[in-house]
Amino acid sequence: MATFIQGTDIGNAWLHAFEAIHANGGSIVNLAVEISDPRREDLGVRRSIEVALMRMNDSEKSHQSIHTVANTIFPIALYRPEIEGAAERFIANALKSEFSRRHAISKQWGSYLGRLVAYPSRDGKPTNQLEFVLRQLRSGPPNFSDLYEVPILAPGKSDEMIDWDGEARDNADSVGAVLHGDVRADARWRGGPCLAHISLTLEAGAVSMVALYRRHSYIPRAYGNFLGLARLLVFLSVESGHDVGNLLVVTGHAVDDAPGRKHLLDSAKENQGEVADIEWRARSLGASWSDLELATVKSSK
Amino acid sequence: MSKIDEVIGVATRSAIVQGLAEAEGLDVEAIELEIDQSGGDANFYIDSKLAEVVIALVEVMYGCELPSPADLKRDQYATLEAIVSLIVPAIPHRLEI
Repeated sequence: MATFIQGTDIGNAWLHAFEAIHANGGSIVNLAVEISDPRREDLGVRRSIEVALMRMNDSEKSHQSIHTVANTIFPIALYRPEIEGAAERFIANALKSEFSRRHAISKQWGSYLGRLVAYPSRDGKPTNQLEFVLRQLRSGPPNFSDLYEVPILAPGKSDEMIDWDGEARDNADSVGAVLHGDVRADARWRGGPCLAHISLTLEAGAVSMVALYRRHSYIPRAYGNFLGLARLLVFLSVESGHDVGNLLVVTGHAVDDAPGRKHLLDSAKENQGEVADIEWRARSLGASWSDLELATVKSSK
Repeated sequence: MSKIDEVIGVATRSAIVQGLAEAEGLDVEAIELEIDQSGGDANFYIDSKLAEVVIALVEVMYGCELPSPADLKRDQYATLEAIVSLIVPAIPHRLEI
């Protein structure tokens, strides 16, 4: 039986989902988590997770901070909405950062941001899905209010087939972005990419998002992924002139397979309630980001 | 640090500031002002993703591959000063800068 969790903010949703996974013996098949206000998070819950991650770090495994995990989907340091052409600048910089990663030793399969701005289509030509999705959201009132999912992008297809200025433009109110590449390259047991697809719906002036994961490790990854998706949703909403809707994260296999999970659950419950706006834009130029790094997380109960 | 490293260091710093200006959509003077107001190169922080962008731009300027933040520890690229120190040894000295 599938499990459906509803949360008011990122921290609240994570905690309810984590509690459900724990109660089910550490694993749930088909878990859907709705975050009604993805612009808000719970800093108390977040701190509990980061303290747990620090405790799990050892010489062989070093976990990333929640900010770093969120950066894999949407790096806020590249987004300055106060600058004219902010979205185009973000996309251009994201492409440059992917260029820099191409020769990195630890580049692995790539990054979610890379899949968003330079999806490796089968014809060898990268597709800029983020640019495409944003253009679609900006394109005007939708004509087909009942058209909830349109497979606009698929491996091997190009957005050039759409005539943006002509009468025949396919004006849909939902758009999708594929993040899981060719099954021959991406079908690994573990290690990513676990985020396979993002679907956006524009309804009643708000953009809502569904994200599909094949597998989600709830202690090291889920909170950061929720935050990264929320940042991306805010970016798309702000840059297309719409409100932020809700976020639904669907996971095929959700697990909490790390040691110390009972302690983390107790700590997160005790520390919950510190609800605040998420950080979704760059800090002032030259400002430190060190408070978001794992090593500097202050001790928590 | 050798004399040639000093020279390359100055040129590399200039290239990084130029890359920052391009990435941020500002002019070089505005970036230099921000660096001064932050307290100098050692106190001017750069996020890892922005560092990737800047390094990519410097790679184009120099025509060679440079270290990627993906391969580095956080404290190796956190400030402008750290990025310059990181990049200088990776630049072939024979390059005319």
